[in-house]
Amino acid sequence: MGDTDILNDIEGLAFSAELNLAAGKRAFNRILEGNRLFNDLVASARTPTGPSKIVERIRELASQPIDERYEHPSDVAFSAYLKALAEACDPKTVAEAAKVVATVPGCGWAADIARELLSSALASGLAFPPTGIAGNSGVPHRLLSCNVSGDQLVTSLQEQKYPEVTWGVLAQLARSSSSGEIRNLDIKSQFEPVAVRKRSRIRGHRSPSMQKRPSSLRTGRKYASVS
Amino acid sequence: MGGPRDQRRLHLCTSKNQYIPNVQEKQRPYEAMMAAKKISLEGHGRRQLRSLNATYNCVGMVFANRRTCIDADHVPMILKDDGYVEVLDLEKVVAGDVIVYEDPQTCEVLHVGRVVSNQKIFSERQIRILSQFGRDGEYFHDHTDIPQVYGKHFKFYSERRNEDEPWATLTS
Repeated sequence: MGDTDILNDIEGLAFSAELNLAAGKRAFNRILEGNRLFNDLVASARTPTGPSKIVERIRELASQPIDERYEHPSDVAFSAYLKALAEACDPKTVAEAAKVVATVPGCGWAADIARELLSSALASGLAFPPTGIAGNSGVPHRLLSCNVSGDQLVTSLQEQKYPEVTWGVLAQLARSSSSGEIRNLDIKSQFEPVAVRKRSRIRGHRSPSMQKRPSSLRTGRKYASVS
Repeated sequence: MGGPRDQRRLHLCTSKNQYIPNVQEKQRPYEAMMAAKKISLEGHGRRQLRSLNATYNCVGMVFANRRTCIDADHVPMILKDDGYVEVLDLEKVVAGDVIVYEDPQTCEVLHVGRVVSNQKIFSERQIRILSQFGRDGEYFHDHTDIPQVYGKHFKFYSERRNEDEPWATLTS
């Protein structure tokens, strides 16, 4: 079976139906690893030109227009591609592919796998480090450490003052930003800290987004005192 | 994923108020569901389609009224907290009980379904199940007629409390 045939079958409806029988992440991985087609894909990814073909295919699928009411039709294919790359390729290629998949809307299984791969890539410094968020005064200083993973960053942001922040939200914002990278996002301007909300409620305002923030908050002084 | 802060989750708890991680997934495209239906029914004359919906999985169908997807890893916690006990005698299995397919070696839960009938036809016991095949649609099927990936090892569980044996486990 040629490489193109393998990729076509991986993107086929039968493969998707078989993988979607899984009732959980563990089962999904087990079914995937036991699948003959997936093993062919891994073998193909071990060839010199294999990884670049797969990454190129991921980019193509990611750029195709989709109906956002539905799950991404290539969700399972993305998962298989990422897993195959993770098994056969260097971490840098894997991180590159995971970064693309993480920004694709409507993914379920693939988003989970991409998030895991990106977290480990971030931890090992292969993907965009969270230090890139430096300069956002709303982000607690301790989060700007190189050792923090993407998931840890999101969790910390949520626990502190930004409950709306998730990995998906960050990725979506990055996609719509001019640079296309999370490192250049201004977290503070995108999300409203919880502290501001509480304050507004006490003052009897209906919605914090309807009013102008106090000047002390705009300067960032209050953020330091809340954390 | 599906944790208390995931925006796509429902506030879902066991009867002991333990949070059940869950995610409301998007519907899958029409062509994907039709292909899934074809694969699930082909060569399985006794299977019957009930619904083609991909927003919930088998565990979500049984324990969350078809509202969300729950990872099968959480099934043991739900069974324990909700007071389910194993029904060892197949004759005592009734409609409404739960069937759990698991890996005999690792005890990993692979699939769950709801019993809809239990009859003895001649010498054979025929137990009909309603279950969602992953996110491939909901089907009526015999308890032994399931996709290969779910294995052949199953157990029945019930939360019933009988009048004649109040609060006693059904295993005795």
